[in-house]
Amino acid sequence: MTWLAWRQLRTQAAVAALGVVGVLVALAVTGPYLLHDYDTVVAPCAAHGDCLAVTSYFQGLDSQLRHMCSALMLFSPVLFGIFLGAPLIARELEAGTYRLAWTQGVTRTRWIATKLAQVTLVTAVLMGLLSAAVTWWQHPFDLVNSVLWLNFDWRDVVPVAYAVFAVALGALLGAIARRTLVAMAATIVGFLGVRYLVTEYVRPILIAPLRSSLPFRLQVTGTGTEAAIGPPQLNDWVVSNQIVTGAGTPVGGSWENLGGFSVKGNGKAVLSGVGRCPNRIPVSGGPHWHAIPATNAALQRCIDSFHLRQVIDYQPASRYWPLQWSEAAIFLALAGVLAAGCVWWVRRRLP
Amino acid sequence: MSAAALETVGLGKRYLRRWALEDCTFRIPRGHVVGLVGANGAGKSTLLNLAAGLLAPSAGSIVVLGEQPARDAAQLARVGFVPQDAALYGWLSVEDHLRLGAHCNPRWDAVAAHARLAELGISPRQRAGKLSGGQRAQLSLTLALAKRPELLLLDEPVSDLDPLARREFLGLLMSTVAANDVSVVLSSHLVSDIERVCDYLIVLVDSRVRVAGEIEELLAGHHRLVGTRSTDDVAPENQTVIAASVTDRQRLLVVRSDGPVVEPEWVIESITLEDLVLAYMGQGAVRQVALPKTEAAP
Repeated sequence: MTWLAWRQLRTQAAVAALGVVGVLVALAVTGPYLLHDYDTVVAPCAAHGDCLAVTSYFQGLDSQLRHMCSALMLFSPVLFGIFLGAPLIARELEAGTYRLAWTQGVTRTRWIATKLAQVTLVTAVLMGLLSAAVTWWQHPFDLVNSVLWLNFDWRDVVPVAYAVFAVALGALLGAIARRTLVAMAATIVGFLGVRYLVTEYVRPILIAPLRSSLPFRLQVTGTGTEAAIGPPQLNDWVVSNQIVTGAGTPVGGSWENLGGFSVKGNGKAVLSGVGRCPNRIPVSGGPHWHAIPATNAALQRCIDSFHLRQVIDYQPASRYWPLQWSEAAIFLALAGVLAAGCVWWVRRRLP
Repeated sequence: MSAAALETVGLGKRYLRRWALEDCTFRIPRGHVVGLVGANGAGKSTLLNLAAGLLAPSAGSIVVLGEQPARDAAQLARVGFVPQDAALYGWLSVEDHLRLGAHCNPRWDAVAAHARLAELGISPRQRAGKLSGGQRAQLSLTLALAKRPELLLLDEPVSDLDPLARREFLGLLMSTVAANDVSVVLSSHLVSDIERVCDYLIVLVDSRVRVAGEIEELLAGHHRLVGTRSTDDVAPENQTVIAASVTDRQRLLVVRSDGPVVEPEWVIESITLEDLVLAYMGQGAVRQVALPKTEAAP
């Protein structure tokens, strides 16, 4: 059975491997140049103190390839699901060849278990190679401008787990639908649906986020005034950021350029959703009126009078790896459930 | 090995609301070549698929070579199955199919399989998808035989073949079967195929077994009775009327006799297998080749 399953899988596996090798070659050719550029241009700049021009030059390098890498890593799990998972059982049912396979001296359970094991192994190995290569290649960029959480979905271990999940999903949907094309379409929909739900609703609370609750401070920026960000550091992931009243009720509205304030000509002001400012706000014309220190101080006094607080839920950078492993574990567990579903379906519900 | 080749009790298979096979109870001893006949949709394929373990019964039970079909790998290895329209992997070569069989079956006879294909002039390099209908059927049979099965199930193996290829296929099947001492169940909707190779008959009508038994005994136990129109309408004693038809001049009965047939009112004739099958299939009872101006019987 191992032989037959591999004989059937090897063409698709070879095509997938060819694609992966192509990517690896592209990365292997360009990667050393990036590292060299980083070592000779970016790294020494810290000594001179001015790195802005150098880093922006560096970040412009290979931008096409970088975008392709992220797109590839985001889409390849579902590609594995479509091309390796969906046809796994559906094609046998469509072509009627299951009647040959299931009447050999091998049980159906072993047949499906072998097929699933092989396709999962191929998927995990290829996806793991891709992920490792892309992570290595991107390393210099991470050193320049780390956007840790933006890379979460397409780096390290989660893509491998996504791909394994997609393959199991495709296989089960193929067994149920008995049509390869239907199974392929359903795999796309199902995969994106589960990914969305987990990303949106599970990942933020997988480990209870840290909470910072501090008095709300305005800060003056180059273009105006906005809500100051509290304790989360650059590489922390801000899950939610709210301004709340002393009673704890969230205050809506945009705090960029103080959309929450409406100030009249006579200086009377209303903080929308909260109340009327007790003090008058000095008004002067110009687009950056609120950046004037006196105005800014008056706005801050008004805010203080309401005891507004800024509540930020965030995941610190140190939780990147725990979250990677947890989310990977979720998808691998789902894949396990789907694979068990496959075995059950093949044994009990087919043909 | 006293277990029957195939034994069913109250066997039934339902698809949604429709029963494809219902209330089948029969027992086929080993060593027979069984012909399974019936109209299209009568349940022949369903019965064979149940026996091969591809389907699970909705009612009753089926025991193949003393075990539940497809219960384990060992049981599967004892049964050879040639599915309808020869299910083969179109993009795999003939050689690959043989390798598949060798990897999956403990008692695989690679030498015989290669020899058989060589004899048939089927190149091992050829892709199964490029084979002709007859070659596909032959490859499928070769794969089933190379398992050295104790029971061989064939689902309409010759339905796609022209008459010559049909004859060749059945001939080869029979010589192999005789040499290997294997029980066979073969379905067909053509009685002539059955007549050529089988010694045991099962007639399926409307998802039920109408009759099952050794062909010699069936032929000896059934008769055609020809009488005049005035012959008494009541069936003769000790006879079960299977089918009756009436023409202008004659009445024709096919009867099952539980004892010797002594009926002075009737002309007693022996029956052909085809007439017997048709009588059970209820297609206007009996063909009346010799008689002009036939009328349909009620």
